[in-house]
Amino acid sequence: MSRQGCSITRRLAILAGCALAVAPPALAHRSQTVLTTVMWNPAMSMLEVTHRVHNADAEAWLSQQGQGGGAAAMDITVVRNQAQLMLYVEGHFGLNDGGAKIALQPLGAEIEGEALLLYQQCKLAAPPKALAIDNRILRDVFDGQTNLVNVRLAQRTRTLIFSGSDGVKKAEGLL
Amino acid sequence: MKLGWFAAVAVALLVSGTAVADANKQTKGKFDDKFRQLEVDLPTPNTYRTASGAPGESYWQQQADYTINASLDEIKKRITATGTITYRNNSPHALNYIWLQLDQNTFKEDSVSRRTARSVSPPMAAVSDSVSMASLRQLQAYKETPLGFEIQSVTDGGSRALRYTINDTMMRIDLPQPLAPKATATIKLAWAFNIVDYNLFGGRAGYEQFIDSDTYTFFQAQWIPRLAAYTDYTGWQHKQFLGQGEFTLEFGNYDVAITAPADHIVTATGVLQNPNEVLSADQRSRLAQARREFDKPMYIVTPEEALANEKEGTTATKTWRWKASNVRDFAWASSRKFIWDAMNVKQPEGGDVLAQSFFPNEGDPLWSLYSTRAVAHTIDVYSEFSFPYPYPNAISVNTWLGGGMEYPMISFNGYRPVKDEKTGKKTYTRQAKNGLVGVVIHEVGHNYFPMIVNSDERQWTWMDEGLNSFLEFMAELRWDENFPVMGGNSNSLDEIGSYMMSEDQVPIMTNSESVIKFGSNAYDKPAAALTVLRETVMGRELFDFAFKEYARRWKFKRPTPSDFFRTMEDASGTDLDWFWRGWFYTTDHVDVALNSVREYRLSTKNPEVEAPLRRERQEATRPEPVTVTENREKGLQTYIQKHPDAKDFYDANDEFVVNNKDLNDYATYQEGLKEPDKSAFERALRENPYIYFVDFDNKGGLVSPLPLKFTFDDGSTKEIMIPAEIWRVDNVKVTKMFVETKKVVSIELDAKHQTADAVRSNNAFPQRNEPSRMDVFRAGARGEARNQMAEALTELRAKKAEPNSPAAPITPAPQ
Repeated sequence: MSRQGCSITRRLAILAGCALAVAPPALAHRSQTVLTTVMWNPAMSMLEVTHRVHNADAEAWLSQQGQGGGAAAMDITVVRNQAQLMLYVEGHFGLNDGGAKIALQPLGAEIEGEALLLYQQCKLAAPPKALAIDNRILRDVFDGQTNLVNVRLAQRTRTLIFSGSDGVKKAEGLL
Repeated sequence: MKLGWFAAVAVALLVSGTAVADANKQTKGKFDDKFRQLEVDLPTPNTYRTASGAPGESYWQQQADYTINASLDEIKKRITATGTITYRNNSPHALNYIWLQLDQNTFKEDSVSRRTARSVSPPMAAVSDSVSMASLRQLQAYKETPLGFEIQSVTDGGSRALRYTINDTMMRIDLPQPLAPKATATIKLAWAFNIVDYNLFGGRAGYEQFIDSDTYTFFQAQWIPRLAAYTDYTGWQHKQFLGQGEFTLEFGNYDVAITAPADHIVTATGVLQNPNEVLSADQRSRLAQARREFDKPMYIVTPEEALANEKEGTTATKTWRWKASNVRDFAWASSRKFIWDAMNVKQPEGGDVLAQSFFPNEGDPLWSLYSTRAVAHTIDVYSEFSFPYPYPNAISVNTWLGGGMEYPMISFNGYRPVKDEKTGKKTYTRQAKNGLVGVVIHEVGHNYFPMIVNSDERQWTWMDEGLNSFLEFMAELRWDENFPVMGGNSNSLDEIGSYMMSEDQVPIMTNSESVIKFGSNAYDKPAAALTVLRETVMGRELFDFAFKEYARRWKFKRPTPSDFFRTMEDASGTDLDWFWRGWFYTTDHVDVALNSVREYRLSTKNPEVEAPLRRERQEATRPEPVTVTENREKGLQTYIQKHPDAKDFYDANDEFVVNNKDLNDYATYQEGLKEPDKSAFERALRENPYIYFVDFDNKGGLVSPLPLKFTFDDGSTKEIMIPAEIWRVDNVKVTKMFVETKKVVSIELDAKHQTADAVRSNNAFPQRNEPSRMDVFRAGARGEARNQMAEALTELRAKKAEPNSPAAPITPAPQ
């Protein structure tokens, strides 16, 4: 197919991880979701990112890592397991501000009720006006995984949804 | 194409001759009346649906009865069936044709659903293109196996062929003569379809392959060409099935024979008619025993028996016969892997119900422990809120890893233990347990909404998912007070704010197929809304009576949103139009700011009392200027100090000294006070109250009651609930006066987190510094955990860099 005489055929990005993929969820009940919140902390001039992962989903991911060790190896309350998931998240979530990758640093993790909260942060001179966001967290584990990203850098809250074949998306009008 | 809801209402109003537009217009200024009554926006009441929200004297609904013979071909993964539909026209209209739903057709490669599937989830644009492996596998599978209904014949009762037209997921059958009111049509059909592989296509039914053991479970739904609903409010509900808007169906009686491999256990909507032919003597005996068991489930098929059974296989078949009365659908499941347990549920006002679960060994130990107990608990709690469960069976089947799907008497549910890859041991966490309990409650709960209170799912998802999620939360908190009902939190009102603040949302009253963020919009927000309504706006007594009235009015009937809205108001005596308008018709959120508090005492008007108080206040609020202090400390004298002869009366007396004129004015004031003001003033002086003026700003737009907690200087507290109507003439700013006998040291708005206020940092006076969660984390409250995490990260990074799995880079193709 061509448009205006210029080929638009490209090699297409493939979202990896099919070997691990498990059944997509039924639609009548909510699907697996990771809720990510990106906020601006003006007092610290810090971009703050919180990922809320359901503990059961995190443990399903751990169970697929094949590390042995019985139940302890799948227990997301164990800090080492949380660290493993943090490394995974680093590889499956990214922010880009006007062409430059934002170097998110891990701050830590904690359990809140039925969810694991993973914290990342990055010091910036000013909040970004727009963000390119890549979110593939657990989408290689659950085919039906639908991730939400709420970006609230000032008064406005914008939401991005990542599911199916979604790749990198751009969030604009943030300030 | 069907009209949108608003358009449908407009058409209905035009036809009935009622004005279609609101005559009220704010032609000056920008006042938005959030308490404007809904009459002009709701359908005009009529003899089918009354203004009080009840079915009218002319209410009607159609009936569709089915007799079906079906066969499961396990090897080919295929269903073949014949059926007779007896359709009774209870409408006052003659029908030239009838419409059937062909939901399997959504899986056809050229279906509207498939052709309109978006490559990028809205609302934001993609920066780069990509495709998932799952999509690739699905694309390949579409090429290999034809999907969708294969309609083999359509005839009338006399076996004469009937003309039919298939329009995507709908089929119109033209009748030889118009079907008169109160007349019955008989349609015979023969059809087949290839069962979808759930792991590839998802959806709401199919088969699941267990790769390790090469075994299967089959779970069938949307497997019959079913009558589309014909209604008083929208005619034929034949809006195409695009994947989100579920099923709008007619009640009827089902007589179904299912032929399956002889070693399968089959479960279905309805009552098994031939247990002697399909169950062993042991199984029948255990089933009879389970009917006497009310405390805990007992096995009909044990895990050991199921495990042994799944290792064999047979080419022989058995036919299971089922009958179901007054149901709107029929679903079933079949497998040689099924464990089966059951227990009886005794209802205070209804008949006994046999709660049952069917699951493979892969679901244990979790399923044996909790599935059937959760079924029984659902019936207990939901019946309290609505009506006794009217069917003899309630069934939970494990059909997949996550999620669930509901049908009359039977539901398909997820959650299983996880198996350690190395040790092979199965274990489950508290989260998996709660996941199972939650999904079973939700899906079994759907028996009430929409399987019995038969709302139109194709139009309004919230009417079943929202009401059901609300009751699910109620049942979960009755299972365990700390149950994480939403987002890991036992209080849904703490979670819904983040969704409701987003610009990227649509009102709840959006057609199902156009809803974005489906779970938050159609499940969570209406459930949170009803929680606010029950616990904060109406109170339990009024809410529970009205909600039960709605459920009982519309049991086995088809309500619309206006019937719900009107019944809740009619039965409670509460004007809730502002609530429906804000929560269901807008995208506003709750954020009320407690902006300022001003404290006053009553003035005695007596200058000898008031003047010293004014002096004190001035001294307290106006400290001496630094210049004056510094001058004095440096020994500088003022002119007057250096020249005392220049002093006069004003140097000896400040502005607060009481003079004769002040005293005379006070005497005149006292003489002028007449009864009853005089007594009231004197009493007030005796009581000497603290008077507070409190300012509230509505920042989120959604008007809300104001639950306030006052804390006094003696440590005591008092709670006050200000109804939402305080916003009725100004929904942006409001000032409220409070008169207290004790000094207030703090006021908190929504201290119990019961209004869904999304921003809590502006809810207290004096204002509280509400650090972000990350601030708290950074502050070292969990410093030890942070250090452990840092050490673990260092170790893991050193040991093995996580293989990054990004999308492959896009490179230009050769020209």
